[in-house]
Amino acid sequence: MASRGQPQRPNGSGQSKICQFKLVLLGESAVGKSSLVLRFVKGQFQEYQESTIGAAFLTQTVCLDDVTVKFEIWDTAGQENIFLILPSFCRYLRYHSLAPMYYRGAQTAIVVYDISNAESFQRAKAWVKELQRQASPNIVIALAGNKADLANKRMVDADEAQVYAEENGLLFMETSAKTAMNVNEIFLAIAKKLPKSEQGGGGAATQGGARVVDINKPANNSGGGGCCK
Amino acid sequence: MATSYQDLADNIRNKQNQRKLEMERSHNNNDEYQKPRIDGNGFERSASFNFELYNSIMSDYLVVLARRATRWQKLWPSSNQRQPKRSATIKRYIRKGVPDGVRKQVWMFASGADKLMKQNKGVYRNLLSKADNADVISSVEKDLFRTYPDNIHFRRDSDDSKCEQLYDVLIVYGHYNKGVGYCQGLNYIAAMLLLVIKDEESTFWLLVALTMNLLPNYYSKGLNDLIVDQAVFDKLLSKKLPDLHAHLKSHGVDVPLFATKWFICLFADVLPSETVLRLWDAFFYEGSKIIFRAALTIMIKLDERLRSKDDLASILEIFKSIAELPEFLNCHQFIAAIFEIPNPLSMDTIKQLRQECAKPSN
Repeated sequence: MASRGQPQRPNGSGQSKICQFKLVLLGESAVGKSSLVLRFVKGQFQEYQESTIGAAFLTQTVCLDDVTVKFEIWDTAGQENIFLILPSFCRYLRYHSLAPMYYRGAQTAIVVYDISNAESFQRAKAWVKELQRQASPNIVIALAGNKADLANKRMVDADEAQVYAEENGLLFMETSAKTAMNVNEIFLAIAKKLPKSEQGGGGAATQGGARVVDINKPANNSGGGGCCK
Repeated sequence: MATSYQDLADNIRNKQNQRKLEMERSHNNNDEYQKPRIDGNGFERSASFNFELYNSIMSDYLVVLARRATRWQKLWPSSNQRQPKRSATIKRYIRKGVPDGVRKQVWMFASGADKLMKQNKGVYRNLLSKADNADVISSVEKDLFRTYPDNIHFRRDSDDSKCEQLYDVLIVYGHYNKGVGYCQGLNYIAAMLLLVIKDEESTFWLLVALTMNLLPNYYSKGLNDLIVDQAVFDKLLSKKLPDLHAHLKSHGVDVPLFATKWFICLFADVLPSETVLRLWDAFFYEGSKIIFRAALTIMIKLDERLRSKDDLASILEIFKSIAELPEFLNCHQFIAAIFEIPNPLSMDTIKQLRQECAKPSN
């Protein structure tokens, strides 16, 4: 049976608030962004996952000791021109936006590459650079070397990726959406690292801090069931 | 010998009688006859698919189809005979629905693909044999088994898998239209065309007619024309449904967040498959304004539901449910609606808005 996205059960006491964070997945086409999300949100895996056109939006919650973290996840298209539709659209309509909307105001990003595809690792590095330049300054970035189950086709050295991640202050894990290896773990590690102060109450676009949601008004969780019931 | 229209009409009537018999035979809810997991176009139905609703829609719709088949027989008895001239009658007939058995010949005729194919004998095979663009090949390969993985015709392990044909069509297209190469979304369109057209060379020319003659240059590298059309749609929305437009805007739901796939895939993998086919019937004859009509009709139908939701997640959830809503499952009513409820909507208006939107500020 597939495991659910429930990295940690609430202990039932001291559960005082829900923090909401915008998370964006970036990376080359077919590295497994949608598969990571499907595994995390629904505990499922499909060998052939439909290619994402535009962006998909999903939510999932993770429970830490004293706080529930709710991720609003933007799973983006890997093909670059499709990814760029939204910012171009805003420019055409003379809306003022500097950075592409999916990661504007995102408090966290997972940049994904495929360990069996060296080019996708280069593309991931370019994404990290772009985020460091354009996204919120406090953004928490995680690097995921996905398809770790394809060890016999490995083209990206894990140590090299680890060193790169350390140099750039990124969380790093090799993951496998197929076997579920490190999928919940990477989201959990992000949840732990995110600042959960109450400073940012002003909506999802708030720079840095979480959006704190009143626990008495449970948010409508559209995903495969959060951990806090 | 091709199936005659009379055969087709008989066939539909037989199917209908059969369905009635099946329904009488069994009241068991789990009856496979009543609840096939796969639809007529090979798509897997979701676990929440509403069969009762679907069956009630289909029992009426099959009668319509039988009647349409008879009418088409009188209008254009066989694909071997001279093509009808473009006329108000043809347009009306196409809007009312093209029966499965004649869809291929109508699409090839209405889009001009058959002319292209005749004028370019040998081009398809020639390009296929010389295909060598590594970028096109690797991008197509990546998406090949990620195109309708839930459709029995596109499963990798299926006996009559159309994946190889799909691969050829996309590869040749990428070499024929070098300014585009391969753009994601073309896979869904080409696959849907293949389901109807069956033969890959005709499918290729239909894809050419569709993307290079009927649509603006949607699939160019920067997707500029596609973005312009989304901006046009945004303006139409603000005119026709100002409250909804403001509501969506206030929650940060810009048009591309929900409509990118509508435009890129021309509603394939968005609306129910039968509805997509009916929409494309009209699209091949009338061109890109059909996209705006469909998009606006969807918004009008969802208006109240969308305005009742007050957060981004719930709003986007409604858009995700489109494929299963009765308004869109009932393809005959939906198509009738697109020619009524967004009115007035002229091609002149669309052209004018396209010009306005085509001037980005920087």
